[in-house]
Amino acid sequence: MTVSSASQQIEAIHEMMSTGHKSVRIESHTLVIWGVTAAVLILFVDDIFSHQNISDPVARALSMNLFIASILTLVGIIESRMTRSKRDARDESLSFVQMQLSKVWWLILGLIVIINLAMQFFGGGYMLYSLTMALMGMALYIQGLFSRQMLAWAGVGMILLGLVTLATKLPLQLIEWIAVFCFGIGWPLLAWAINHQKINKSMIQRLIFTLIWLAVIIIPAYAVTLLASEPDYELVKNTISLNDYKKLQKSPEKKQIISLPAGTVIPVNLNIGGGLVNVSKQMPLILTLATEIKIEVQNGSPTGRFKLKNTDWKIFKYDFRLRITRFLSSLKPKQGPGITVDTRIVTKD
Amino acid sequence: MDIPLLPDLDNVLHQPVRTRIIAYLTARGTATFKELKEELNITDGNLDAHLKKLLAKSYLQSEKQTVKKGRPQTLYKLTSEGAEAFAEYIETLKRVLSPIFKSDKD
Repeated sequence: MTVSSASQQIEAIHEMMSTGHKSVRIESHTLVIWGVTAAVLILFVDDIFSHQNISDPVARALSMNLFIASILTLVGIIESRMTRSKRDARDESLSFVQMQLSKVWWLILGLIVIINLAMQFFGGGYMLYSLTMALMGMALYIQGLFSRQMLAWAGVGMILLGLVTLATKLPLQLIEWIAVFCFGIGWPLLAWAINHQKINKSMIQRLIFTLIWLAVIIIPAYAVTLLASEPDYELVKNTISLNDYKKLQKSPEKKQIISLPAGTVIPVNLNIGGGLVNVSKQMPLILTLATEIKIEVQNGSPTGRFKLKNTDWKIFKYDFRLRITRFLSSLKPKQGPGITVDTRIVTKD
Repeated sequence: MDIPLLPDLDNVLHQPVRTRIIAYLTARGTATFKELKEELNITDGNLDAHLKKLLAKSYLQSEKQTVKKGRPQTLYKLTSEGAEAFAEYIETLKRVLSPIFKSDKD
């Protein structure tokens, strides 16, 4: 044996061990199926399990998360069968590392469902999409360590998206659309990239692809957010006053924008439950508008779009918050028991 | 310049293709015949001959796995004897190379 042949053997061993460690392959359909599923869930789950559809918060939280868990399990079974069938057809095996990585994916998915459930009881819902992107990015990064490097790069991109959207306090609607585009467009694009030899071999190509990939997620998300908030130009042009609206015989089926001037009286019906107190007589709380507000209405109910004077159009679901800032009870000899509740209605600018 | 050396080497492992098969399986755990063939880029006959030698020495074990469609799949896996022999083989290679690294440092 010579020194050069020993050296060659060592090099061959290094090369094959590295190939063996990085032999975990993620199938293209896996990224497409999971990406589209996540995007659809983000888009529609909130609307399906809305306050209007299920009024009890506990029932809403439980049914929503049961639904999400069921969909994820179903998709997991379908995806796993498709992967098995493809591997069998190619006479390929599932390596030990790959099986362990699948467990990591399921743990992270389970964690996201638990976080979603917990947020519905303890608050913090604003962070959900950012956390989901960061956690799924972490899973992609771990997968990339044993597979194509492009996965690790995209994983870092997703972790950054999650952290930056939180740190910069972007509007929730924009974060939601970033998450939708990240999973719905970003992941299928990644499925194409992992089978592209040049991107996987060259660092510059990976860098360029990652930047394009982030742009493909962020730019459309920003555009959709702007478009989703704005009502049709024709509707804005044909805005009618509250007085004219009141003269209509019945609620119009088509969308219409109604302008409510400052000073408009708004009766608020407060329903207080919990069993501690009884409301003897339903007395509406009378509020008056401090500023002019335009509201898009359809079939007698607001669609969620509204506009305050000198501001952009907003979406009720994302931009309207009712905060209880103080709850003070007192029990004085002369006045007896009393409760003071300070609330603030805020809209995001 | 190559210096002839005569360490005690395992003849079954000290062959480029077989060394690569063992190194790959050490890292990956298991692999099918097709996966090994693609990674090593060799013919069916050549791979079969090398696998038979490794199996005969009990460095590898093969197990048949039933798949739903098509024929059963044969998985190749490193045995504990194979893992030990491979570790010893690497130690031998290190001993061969250590005088060179030492003289480089000097």
